[in-house]
Amino acid sequence: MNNVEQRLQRAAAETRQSAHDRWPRELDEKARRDRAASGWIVFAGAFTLVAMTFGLIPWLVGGTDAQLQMGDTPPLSAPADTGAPATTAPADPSTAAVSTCSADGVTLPPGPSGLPDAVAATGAAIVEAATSCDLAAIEALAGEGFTTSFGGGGVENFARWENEGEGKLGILVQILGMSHAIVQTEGGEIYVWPAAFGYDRWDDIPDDLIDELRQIYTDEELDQISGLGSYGGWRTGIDQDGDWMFYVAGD
Amino acid sequence: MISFETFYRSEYRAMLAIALALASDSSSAEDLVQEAFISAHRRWDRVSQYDSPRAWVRRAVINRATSLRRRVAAEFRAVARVGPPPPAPPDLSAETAAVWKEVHKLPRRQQQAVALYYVGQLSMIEIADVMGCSNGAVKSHLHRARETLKDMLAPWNEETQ
Repeated sequence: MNNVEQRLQRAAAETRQSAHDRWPRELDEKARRDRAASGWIVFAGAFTLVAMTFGLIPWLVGGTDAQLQMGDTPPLSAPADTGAPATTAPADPSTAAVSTCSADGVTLPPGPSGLPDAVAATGAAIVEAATSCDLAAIEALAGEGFTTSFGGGGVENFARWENEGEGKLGILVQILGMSHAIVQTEGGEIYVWPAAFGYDRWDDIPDDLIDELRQIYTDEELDQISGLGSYGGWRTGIDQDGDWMFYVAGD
Repeated sequence: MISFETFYRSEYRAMLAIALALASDSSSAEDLVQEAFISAHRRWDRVSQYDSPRAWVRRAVINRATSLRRRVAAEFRAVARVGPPPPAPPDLSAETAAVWKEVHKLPRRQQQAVALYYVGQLSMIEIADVMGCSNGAVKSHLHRARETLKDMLAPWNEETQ
């Protein structure tokens, strides 16, 4: 056994003993319920943490793993300057064709209210592209540094998900029909769906926002997600300029 | 179905041990363990039916413990306490505290794997279940953690030898 192994084993044994010597604290349900909800994340420092946790740092700083992975796909065209990104795209054979479409039959959500025009336009364009299963349009909407899935990855994931029968376009449409949170950053606001993401603590999420999540998750799945301590399920974000930034799940 | 009270009493210390390895201090460790059990309590009808309610709570503990949000959220330390105060626990030795301090510098998945393997004494399969990854991924996390710790703990090794 090497030195590191020995030290880890000794530390673990002492830690277990320390825990064994502690008396279980009485569960304090009432105190937990009475605590004020933490609400929206409203300052830049908090955003930095959120960004680190949910993989936005690559987008912010430019040039990390997520962008390197984007190198496998053709350069993406820039969003149109109207605030509504172009929906014609450099079609990549790897992303242009899918055998099934998870968004087939998904009811179009009502247009969210109170959004800046650029954000609303991009949201509508995403819904339109997803419900028509137009992966080329999805690719065009995704800006540079756009991140999907766990630990990075680009728009190529959409085709893979659909073709593997785990399509996420339907979920994308559904969450865009839910309430949204606003994350303040030094560079401006990011609009994130669903709003449950805006709460630091799962137990602070209001019941109506939990109910929204039942559109895409079973009770058992929500139990699993709640174990993360905060909402870590599928979510998508558009910045105030209308740039689609991420569609991810997990942490 | 096992009662929540029985489950809590039987599992608390094992969960706390894992939390002590991952949290910044014992108070935070106790807080996050309580939060994890409260979450389980609120949905105990369902959680108790799972193959392993223990795995569910372990998952809740490690995710809470390594949350970046938690590290800076002072409010997490403001959980009110009721009932008789627990007896004062012995503090961890300086050496043990130093080991966990270095472990905290590892990527969060490596931290979780180290805590579950060494402190929780879980098998690779159990760790994979808790972390939601493959056995191979667990082995990889542990290997990388040990490799990194060789360097991180080296100065201490030299000083104490």
